Amino acid sequence: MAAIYSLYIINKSGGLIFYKDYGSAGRMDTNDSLRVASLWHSMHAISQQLSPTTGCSGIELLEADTFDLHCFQSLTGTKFFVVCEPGTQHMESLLKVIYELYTDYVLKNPFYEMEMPIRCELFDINLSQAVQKDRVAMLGR
Amino acid sequence: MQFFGGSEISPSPPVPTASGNNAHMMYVFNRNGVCLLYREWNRLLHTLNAQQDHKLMFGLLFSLKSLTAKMDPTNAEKGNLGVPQLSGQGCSFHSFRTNTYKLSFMESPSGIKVVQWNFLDLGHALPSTSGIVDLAYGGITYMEMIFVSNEQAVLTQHRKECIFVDLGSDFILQFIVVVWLVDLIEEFDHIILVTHPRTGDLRESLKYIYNLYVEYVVKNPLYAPGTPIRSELFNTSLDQYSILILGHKSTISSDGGLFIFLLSRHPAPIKNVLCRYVLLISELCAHYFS
Repeated sequence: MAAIYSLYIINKSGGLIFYKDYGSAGRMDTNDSLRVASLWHSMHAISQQLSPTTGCSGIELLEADTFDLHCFQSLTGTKFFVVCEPGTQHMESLLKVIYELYTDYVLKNPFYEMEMPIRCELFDINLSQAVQKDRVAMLGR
Repeated sequence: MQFFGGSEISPSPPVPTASGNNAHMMYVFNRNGVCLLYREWNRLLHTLNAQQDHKLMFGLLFSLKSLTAKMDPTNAEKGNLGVPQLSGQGCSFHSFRTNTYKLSFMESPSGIKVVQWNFLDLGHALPSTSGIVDLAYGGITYMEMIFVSNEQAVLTQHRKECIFVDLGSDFILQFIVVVWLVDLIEEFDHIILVTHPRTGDLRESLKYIYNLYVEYVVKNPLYAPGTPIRSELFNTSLDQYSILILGHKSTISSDGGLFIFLLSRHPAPIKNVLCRYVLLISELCAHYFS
């Protein structure tokens, strides 16, 4: 039983730089995931425009019938979003943990080019550990 | 319609300047994207003109629906992105939240979309003056909002006239009348509500509004689809529903402030309607304070 279904990271221009699926039936191929990511980027921006007051920073939570989507946007415009089961708790803290891993293992990697797809082994390993820990914690509750 | 469930009023002394951060909006779209009904209460920021705003709103909803249908993790068979979905098909979203507002959405099988916006920040202010202001309106359609509070009241910034009636030591009744010309109301199929972000799940409320629409508007043999809705029964039932909802959802803050919202639409001059509402309000208050 997966706590989260999938994780996406998109850069500030809306391009997908990381996509990981954790066992959903709706696993997407590369092209589709790219399209979905850029669509999300635009929706995020439009929702900011439609805000009835100032100070809106875009969609943080989208609740659908079969899943919830939690989104975290860093100050630089990089967006991290997870697709999870409806009603999953503590996704915001998980996203912040993933952000920390991103800064540690991706940005501090001297061979990583900004805005490019992430191909860092240490990031993958630590990410799996973080998600696994989250899953175990969830099952344990 | 306004739903203020779960909002909390801070017990700190009231701020003399109005913050009025309680925008609420309601959109209704038909299946072709035409905005049939748009109501707003104290919306502070208008970035686009009305037409563009409606188009943008509909575009956002359409794309989000197509996104959720594609991203559905429980369904392996999916069409391509951008293919228009029939109303029941595919996974659809029912709400999303940003840091400043929450949007609730409902789509009926005939393509009717109901969208409700809740605004996040409940600011409040004390009225600067009190007294009875005489108002007279000639037969334009208007909306009326009445706020009842015993310590604080919410003021809207939006073209308002105020009437204050002191009904006793426990509370001051503050009547705020918002007058605006109702926008072009064409046939409505989508209902959108914008409300407070801490509001719970509004799907039941949206479904109820839709049922009211079916009962009193669609089933009316004299109603031509595509024309403005002028059904008294519909208006009355909406009013009654809002009283019901608000009667249950009105909150009492720690310092005893109570908010009740009443919404109606009448072409009659305000004084007549006010008398009716005074009675209603006093009944509600008696019920609440008993």
